[in-house]
Amino acid sequence: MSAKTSSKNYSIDLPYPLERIAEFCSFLRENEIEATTHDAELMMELLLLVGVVSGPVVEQLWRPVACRSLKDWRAWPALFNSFWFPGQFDRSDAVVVQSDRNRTIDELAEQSRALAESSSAAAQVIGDDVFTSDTDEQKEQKKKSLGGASSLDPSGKKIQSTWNPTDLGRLERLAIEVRARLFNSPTRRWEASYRGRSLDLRKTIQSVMRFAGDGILPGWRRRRRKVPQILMVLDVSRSMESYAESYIRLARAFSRWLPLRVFLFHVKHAEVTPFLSRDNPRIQEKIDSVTAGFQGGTKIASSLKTICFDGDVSLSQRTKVWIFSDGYDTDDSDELLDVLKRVRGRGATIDWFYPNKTVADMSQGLRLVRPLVKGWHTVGNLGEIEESFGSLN
Amino acid sequence: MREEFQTSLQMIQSGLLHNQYLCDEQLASSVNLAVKLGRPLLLEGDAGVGKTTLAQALALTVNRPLIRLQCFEGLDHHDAVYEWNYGRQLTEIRFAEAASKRIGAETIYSEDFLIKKPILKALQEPDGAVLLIDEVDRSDEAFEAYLLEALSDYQVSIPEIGPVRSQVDPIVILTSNGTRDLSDAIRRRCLYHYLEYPDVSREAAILQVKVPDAESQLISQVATFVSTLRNEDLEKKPGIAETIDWLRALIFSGIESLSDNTELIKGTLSCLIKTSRDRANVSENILEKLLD
Repeated sequence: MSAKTSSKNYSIDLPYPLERIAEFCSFLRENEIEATTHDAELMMELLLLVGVVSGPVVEQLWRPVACRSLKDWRAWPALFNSFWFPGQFDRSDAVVVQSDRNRTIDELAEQSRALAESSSAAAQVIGDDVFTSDTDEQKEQKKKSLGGASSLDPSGKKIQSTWNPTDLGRLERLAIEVRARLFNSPTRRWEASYRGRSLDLRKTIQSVMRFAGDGILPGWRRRRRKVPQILMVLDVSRSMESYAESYIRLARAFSRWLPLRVFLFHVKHAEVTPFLSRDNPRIQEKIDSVTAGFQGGTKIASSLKTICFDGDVSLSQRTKVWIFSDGYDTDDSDELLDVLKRVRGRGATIDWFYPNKTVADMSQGLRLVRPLVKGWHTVGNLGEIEESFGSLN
Repeated sequence: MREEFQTSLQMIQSGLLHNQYLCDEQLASSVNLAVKLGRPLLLEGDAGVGKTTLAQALALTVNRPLIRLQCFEGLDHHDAVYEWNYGRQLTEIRFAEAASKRIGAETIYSEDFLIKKPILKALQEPDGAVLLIDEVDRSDEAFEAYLLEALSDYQVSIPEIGPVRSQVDPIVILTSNGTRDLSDAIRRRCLYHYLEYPDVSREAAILQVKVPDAESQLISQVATFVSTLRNEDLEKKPGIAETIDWLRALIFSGIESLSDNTELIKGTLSCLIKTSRDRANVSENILEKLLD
């Protein structure tokens, strides 16, 4: 079986359409669009249904089938073109994929590797030992190339040596406790439920009236429980270097038990949620990819703004934003204030976890936003982490 | 087959236009797929981009009744699918007792005593219906799970009767404003389309269709103004419905051009800017610049 698609400017041959579509779906999956086997079948079915058509028509036809979210929807044109028409790949589309937050992990990693190869200053350094043979100038260049982000591998031996398995077990237990507390906090509202143990008197009386006193249909209710949505935003800038790896480990432990989305940031941001479920060195790639090529500072306000308002995150009353940062920000202090006001305006609550010991250590920006933050928690070590999350509600 | 597909695509596009809904090729293609493949179409996008209106226009286009299910927190299958008419059942039992007749469960639990709610109505519509499940993100996860059966097989299960299958598959449109993430399961069962704000020329064309008595110069100015305003940092960006309202307000105020009477125009901006924070954000300077 063969199908051929063509357009005014370009054409693609599909001598083995099923194989090519399967490859395409695999390519989409690599780029974080979850195209299933069923989607592949549907794409084939559509090709057969529509017959010989132009590239843009196929692009239009397959888009609603393969995309599941806004992120997929925006990434689609560039991904489609780069797979089917690599030679005639539109540069403007390429920019969309490679320059903004829609960049995929592979592209980010690829860019990171390219940068690393093109400049010794952009080397991806994992582990302290690499620094030992360099001059001071080279060390500085390497640090700059990471944009201030931690050069330590969060999934490497350092963590294992810092936190032993017993400690990691403590984190897991802590996550279970937090889950039990967050999920079991009933709201003041009631909901009708057949499994409820409280009699809904109003509904029951209404049922009696409906049956003119002849019958009774008891109505049951229970307290409504809201499942929280948690955004964990981790600062991986240089000033957080000694803490970031521990916090990522914490995020990994928590992600198994809580509905968590985890973002890393310093001057750019990246979501690492999909990689938290397994020990995967790609987290470090992601960090490196985000940080490579950008120099100087930590942009808490603009990163938070992009994460919370420009992506597919939807804030509501059940959203809990956990920010792990020391608060040193190169954005204006007022900007942070504005962003947090917007976050609070959507009903989300903010908890700030910082490694410093006292409130006096807070930056100017943090002092300004103090009234907007529900809880300030010191998380300098495992004991403090347990204490902070133990008091969280 | 290809001709048939193209024809139906063109028919949908022209039908929607006839019903005052101007859609681009991608949207027409998504709708056509939903109709042809019999799959639900999940429409996402900001409030006011025309998701609900699309379903209404589509119902008119395909000449089927529009059955709307407005979702809200706490919505369950009693509100969405069916409910037994207990009062009538009891009365029936009383009549049977008075006439010394025996009445069986098969009589009491028959369709005569069933109160059909939107999903069941849509499934049982003899000529098919357009089922609009509006703002599905406002419903609870439990209801979303319940929808899975209805959306994948066009069938609901009523324990006393058994499964009820659709006679003619309805065209199902789900809309979401993204107030919460929908489950992967429901996304997998649907075709997906994200409705963006239209560009200036498309919005101008929409305004021309919706407000035919407006001058083309004013329409062009309004479309450009609103498009620029959407780039400002607003909590609630003006949707197409707001733009139409604003244009009507301008015409009602006797304004023929945005350079006419700035103060009067600012007075009508409440049609576009709807929160106090946005009012504060869009300062006088920005407005002056936009109106220039």
